[in-house]
Amino acid sequence: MILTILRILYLRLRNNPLELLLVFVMPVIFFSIFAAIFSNGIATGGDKKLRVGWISNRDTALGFQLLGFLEQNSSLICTRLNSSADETTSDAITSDPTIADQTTSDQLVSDQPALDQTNSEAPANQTADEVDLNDSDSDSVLDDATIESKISDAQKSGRYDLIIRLPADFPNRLVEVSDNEDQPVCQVSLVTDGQNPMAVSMVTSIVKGFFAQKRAAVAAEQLMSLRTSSGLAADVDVPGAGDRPVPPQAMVPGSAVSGNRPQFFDAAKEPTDVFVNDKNADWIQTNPDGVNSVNGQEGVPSEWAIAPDKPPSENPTQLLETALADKAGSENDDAVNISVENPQAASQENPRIAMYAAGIAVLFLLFSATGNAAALLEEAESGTLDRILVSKAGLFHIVTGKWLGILLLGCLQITVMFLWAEVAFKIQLGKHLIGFCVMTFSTAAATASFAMLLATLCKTRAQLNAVSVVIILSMSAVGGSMIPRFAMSDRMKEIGRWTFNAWALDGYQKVFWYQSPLSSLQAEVTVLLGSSVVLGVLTLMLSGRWKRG
Amino acid sequence: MTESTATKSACVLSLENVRKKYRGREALKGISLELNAGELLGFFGPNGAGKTTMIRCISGLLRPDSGKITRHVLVDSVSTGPVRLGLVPQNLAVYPDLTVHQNLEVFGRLEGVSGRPLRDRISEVLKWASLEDRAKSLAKTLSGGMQRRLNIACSVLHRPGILLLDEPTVGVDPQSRERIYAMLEELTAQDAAVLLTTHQLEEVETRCDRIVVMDHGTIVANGTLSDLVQQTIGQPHRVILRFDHPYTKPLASFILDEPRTSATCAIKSMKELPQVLSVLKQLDCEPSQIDVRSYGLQDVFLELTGRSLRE
Repeated sequence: MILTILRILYLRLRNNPLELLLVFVMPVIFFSIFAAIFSNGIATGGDKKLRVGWISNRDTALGFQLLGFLEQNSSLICTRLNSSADETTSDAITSDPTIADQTTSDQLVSDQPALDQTNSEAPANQTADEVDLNDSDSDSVLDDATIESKISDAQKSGRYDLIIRLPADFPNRLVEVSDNEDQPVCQVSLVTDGQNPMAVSMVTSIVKGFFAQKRAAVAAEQLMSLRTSSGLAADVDVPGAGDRPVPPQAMVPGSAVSGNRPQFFDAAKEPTDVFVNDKNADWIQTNPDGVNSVNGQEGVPSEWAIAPDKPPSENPTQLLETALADKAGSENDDAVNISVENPQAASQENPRIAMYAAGIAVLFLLFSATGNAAALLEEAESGTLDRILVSKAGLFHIVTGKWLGILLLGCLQITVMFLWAEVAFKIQLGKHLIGFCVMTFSTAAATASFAMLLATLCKTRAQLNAVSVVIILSMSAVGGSMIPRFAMSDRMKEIGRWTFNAWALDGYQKVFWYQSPLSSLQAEVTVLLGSSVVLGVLTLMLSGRWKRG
Repeated sequence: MTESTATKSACVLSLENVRKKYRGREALKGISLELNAGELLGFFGPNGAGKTTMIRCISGLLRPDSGKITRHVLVDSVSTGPVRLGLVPQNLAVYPDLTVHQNLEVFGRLEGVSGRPLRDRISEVLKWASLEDRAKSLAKTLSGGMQRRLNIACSVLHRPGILLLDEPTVGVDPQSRERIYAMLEELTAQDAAVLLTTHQLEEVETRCDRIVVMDHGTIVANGTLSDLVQQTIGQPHRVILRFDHPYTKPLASFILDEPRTSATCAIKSMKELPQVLSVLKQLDCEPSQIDVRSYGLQDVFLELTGRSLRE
């Protein structure tokens, strides 16, 4: 008997292609979609880059070095915001390998003339005045109001995960203020909209890494100067030595330092390759067997070694040397003060909740819309549609009436969701009511047309259920209802642009997060309402099949 | 579909040489038919004969490829337009999650009835369909018979002059079937024309004023039952004599079969039966059994459409 029951199950499954599809093909489809998203599309994927905006009150050499350092980082796309013409991404800036080389590691190890060379080959859209980095009174000075405005615009555009802001007193060189060790030498502000919390920690880490290098370079240079002055000049080069003048005694013609910049421990690697993004590393170590290493690179000249713990020496030179070496290994906390600002924080309350509400609302809106549109198929199957078609109501009335019903229900559904979010999670619905209404109407209209078209194309409710589940879950996964769009790769974000979810979420984001004006919703509203009209017209054109039976 | 003033007051619907190809085959091959006011027309035919296609054409859901379907304007009608149509689909074409009253209300509105006339009409129809007690019940909670009555009730709120019913009594008990036909007779009494398709021979025989037999997209017979029998079989009754042993003598108008153990004689009316029995007595014929059989729609139907299966 049990075998017979099993056989019935098997036969029914075998005779029902749609069920076979649901059982075997759909899981594979979903697995593929999510595998694609999680393997390539999420922040851990290879092509996900943080979009970082860059703005400074004035351009300085150290600022440009930091910019070059950030641009070299493969996980960032940097864009200068100082002027609208400057808004060029680092991809464009670094597309010329010569420039790329010179804006990063070379800057860190080169002397001052080399820095000038960097300036001369800075991004093409910079003016000569702007790149005169030696001049602390550079022409490229923006007042605070302009900076705030640019930051605000950039944030509202939604194109940046984070904006780095350098204040007017950002130094030209790290050494300038290093004498006062009680105060951080550089102030860097990270301006966030709070949307991508990962961006803050990532960029903080990278900026600290830069200052760790600079700090180490200064310390090492001081050490070299000390040794040189003590008659212990070594045949070494100093990373970041361009930050301070090379001691005259080291500039002996024919010597290694003034000549061809010999590598100080590994000819195959630039020092920056070793130090970059390795803030936690003890970058110079002496092993018990006496071999010195830098981040695992052995063969470091003994002059660079941090001596193993020894009793304090009475020799002043040794004391200074130890102190400088300790400073080099002491990270960078005293070199830079990184502050995180969220200008919208004061006016926001739980904007992330608004995004979750929108994401979930759009997902369920799609499901409920197709569910309601399925009533059309149900009516066709029962003959109710025939009865209605014979009455005074025509196809246009039926399709339009259904569409309107789904639209109103959708609006109500989203409103209930947001009302609850306001009551329970304190989102500011009342403050953004008009934007909310515009986005809700547009989204509900698009989903209503989409659902009606699906119902018109499907022949049975079972078919519609299967098709809609696949399409809606796929759209929601790619479009940001399940996984935040900021965590997706650019490619996945672009794919998401083919879904209603993405446009709707972008719109809600502008309303609740960026608090953008209504005019900024033009693209989202146009796409959603345009889709609604196109799909609606298609539905009307194809709905003749209801009459044909 | 066209409209015209009825040239004769009785005719509310006429089909002239209607042809329709449906799903790749010719479902209607030149159908011509008239439906009169107050008439209950039974449409009868094997599965796939084209009945549903014809109903869909009449109701306007399908457009004929050629031919003409005319709904006439009744001369004595207060309405200036052609007679209105009501359709009762074969399935339960009501909203199961609405109450009886709500179903009547929405379908009434769809037919353009609203306000007080609608409320009055709903009360009338509830009474007509014997559903007053269940007005507030959800349609899905009704019994099969009640659901069928509601299905019909939803189509008469606008007082249609023509009511098309596609197998309205499928799956209902005899009591409900009686009630449904009583409802239809009330409609015809009010001069509504009713066209129904069914496979229930008995219903067509006993309830319909006229019978149309359709097969392979054409009308193969059209008339009252006796007309059909006359057209297809001839005499409507037969007297059959059965003998225990082969009967060897001549037997007047009776036709003996080959073993001569039975003989058959056709008669026009049962009134002729005493005369036949008298003849048998005169011939001194004493059959072991005498059967009298009247021909019905089943015989007509099988005679016209054959005995081979259609599906």
